[in-house]
Amino acid sequence: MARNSSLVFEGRQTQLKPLFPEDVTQEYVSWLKDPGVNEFLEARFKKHTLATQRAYVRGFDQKTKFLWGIFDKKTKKHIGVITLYDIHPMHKYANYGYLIGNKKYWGTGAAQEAIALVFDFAFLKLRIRSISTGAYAPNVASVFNYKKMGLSYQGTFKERLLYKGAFVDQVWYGITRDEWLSRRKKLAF
Amino acid sequence: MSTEERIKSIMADSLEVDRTLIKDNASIYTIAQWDSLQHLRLVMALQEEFGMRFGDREIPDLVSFAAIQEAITKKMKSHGKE
Repeated sequence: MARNSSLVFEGRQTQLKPLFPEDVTQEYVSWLKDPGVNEFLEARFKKHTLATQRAYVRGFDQKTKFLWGIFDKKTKKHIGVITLYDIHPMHKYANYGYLIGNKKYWGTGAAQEAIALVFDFAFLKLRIRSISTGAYAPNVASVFNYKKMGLSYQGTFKERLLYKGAFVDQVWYGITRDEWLSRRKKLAF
Repeated sequence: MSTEERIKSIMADSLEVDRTLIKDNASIYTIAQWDSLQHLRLVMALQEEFGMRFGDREIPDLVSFAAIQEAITKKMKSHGKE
């Protein structure tokens, strides 16, 4: 698959680049196995190797389903990934997900900046009309991030997800294009 | 120190910003440094200071000084601490 430079985005501290199977490293695989990183990820239910993760990455065609590596702009270090998927061609909605695997970058604003770059791409280039995402209800840090980015509460699936031996609620948050354009002006990215 | 002052002081310490930035309208939208990790630190500090617990559903709603003040006042009333 050809690398498309029009899918490379830069913020103040991060750079997003489409990720390809050959970009998958042992470090990336190790994030998925780390209980601190995967606590609220479906990844914790699976076994991960270079081969399985390369197969996962191959599933993103970077045309209708996107996966970017999140890199430290200065050091070029790979610190996480972010996805935009379930893009509906008629309804113009999409979902997104992300993970910052390198814990040194937690609390640095890297995730928020990466999300902002993907939202800009989705809403302004792809002309998506709304983006949503779900979280385990106990994942208060993710829900906080949704609010910080301007997403609003959409609804709850009761007792939907298995977490620490119990079934917990899944909460959904979303944002429309107009809401994002309004929120975007207030973010310092 | 009043409840308002205690909250603002904890917010400044937890969010690592100057106390003068914690105005009545302070929120996640006015304080750029207020991220998810600092939010968790802030919630833990508030719980310790005021001797109360916030649930999973309450924690993400504590996104401004006003919201925090309201939540704490409500809990104090229900626990007869006012």
